[in-house]
Amino acid sequence: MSVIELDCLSELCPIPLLRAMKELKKMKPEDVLLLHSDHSCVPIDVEKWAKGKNYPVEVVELDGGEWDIYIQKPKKSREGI
Amino acid sequence: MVILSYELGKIIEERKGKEKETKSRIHYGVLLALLSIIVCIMFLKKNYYYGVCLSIGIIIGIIIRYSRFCFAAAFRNLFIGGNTRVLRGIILAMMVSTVGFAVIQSKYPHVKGMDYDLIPGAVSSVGVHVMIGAFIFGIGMVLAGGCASGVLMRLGEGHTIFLVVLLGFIIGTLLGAKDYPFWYEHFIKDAKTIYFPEYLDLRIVVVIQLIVLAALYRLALWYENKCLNRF
Amino acid sequence: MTQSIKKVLKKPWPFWLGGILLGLANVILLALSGISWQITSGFLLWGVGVLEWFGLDPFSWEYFSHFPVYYNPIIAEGNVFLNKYTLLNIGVVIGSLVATLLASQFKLKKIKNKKQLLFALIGGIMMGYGSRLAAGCNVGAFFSGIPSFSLHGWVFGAFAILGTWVGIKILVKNI
Repeated sequence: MSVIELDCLSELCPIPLLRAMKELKKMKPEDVLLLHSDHSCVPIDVEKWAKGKNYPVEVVELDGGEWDIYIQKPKKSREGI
Repeated sequence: MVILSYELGKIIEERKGKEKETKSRIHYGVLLALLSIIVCIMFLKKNYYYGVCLSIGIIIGIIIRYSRFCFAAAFRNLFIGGNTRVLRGIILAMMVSTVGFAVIQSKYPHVKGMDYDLIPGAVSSVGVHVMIGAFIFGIGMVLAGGCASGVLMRLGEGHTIFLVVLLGFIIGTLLGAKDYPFWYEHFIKDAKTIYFPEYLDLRIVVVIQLIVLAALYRLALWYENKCLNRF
Repeated sequence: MTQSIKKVLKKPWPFWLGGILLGLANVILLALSGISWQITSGFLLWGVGVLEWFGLDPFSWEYFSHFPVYYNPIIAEGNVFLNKYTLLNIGVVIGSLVATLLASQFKLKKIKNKKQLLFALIGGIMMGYGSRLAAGCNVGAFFSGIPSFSLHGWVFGAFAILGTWVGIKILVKNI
């Protein structure tokens, strides 16, 4: 199980979400995507999207307006992303 | 609710341990708030309208930031992800404003032939110019990553890129104003203003509009549930 | 104790609360100031002010003669930089800054690269131009236009959605 980091600092919506969607398609099941963002909408939107897909997701708020968003691609992938 | 896998939980705990305690900036916020209140009171004394606009502007800024209301996202998320949270918030806001604006407008009844700009609120002609203008606006909004309210809200968050968007706005509005005679001649000159209370009693208009907005709210909720596979 | 205050101040508000409050704010604004929430008029006025610095006379353009209710008072008083419209905008920035500081989430974010800058500039210009045709932006024409019972607000919404769809198509090809 590997962790793929996506640096989305200074990026505006919808780019972080689009990049996350793209990356998750390529990832192997059980891999974890770590999205790093400093845009306040991104954690909310990405978390909601991931929950809708039943992907385990956790948002961790860091110091100074930054967020780490962890998304794991589940063992059995549902119909495409 | 999906439980995090054990390994994911471990990774997160590890990283959390490495992070320092998040620093508080609350005192700066309180300081700025107090300063703002003082400035607002000064304005209210000197020039009432200035004071009102500054004060309510500040209140609006607080509301949209705390509610994470990105107006651009309201439209954009219809096509990416399907999240209609902001759109539904905006619809609710418009329902409240519908009632409030009606009360205000009823105190200034519109007489046929009167300048529509005298009606309290935003009443304007409708036609191809609005269609083209809104269409161009929609494209620009996505390319820039935010709209006009986004500029204001994001500048308050520290996104320096929005200074560039603001510059674009200034250039664009100046160009648009300079070009206005062309649009006026071809599209705006003969465009009608459709102000609903001219056709139906204001109270009926309010009821119909509230029903339509409520229906749109329901539609947005259904759409979100469909997109996020909640059925 | 301070930890829980910090937490509370960080928490985003539920959308329905924000929606109701925002709707109310627009009503109070209209009632007390005579104008509904709008943004791009203020941007235009700043632009006019800059051009005036350079010795130009933008108020002589035909555009302003079509909106005497808005601009005549400003032309008369010469307060192009500080007036109802620009103070409203400045207020929103300050409000957002206060909220961001209270949530301890303020961060100066750099411009990512030239592409982001280009898109920001082009997007801004398009929005500015479009707002003159449509008599407002999504706040001035749509958010304030619909509660004002003007059809143009609805038309704005519909066509802004179309534009959004096209914009996304362009954006996705250029990420």
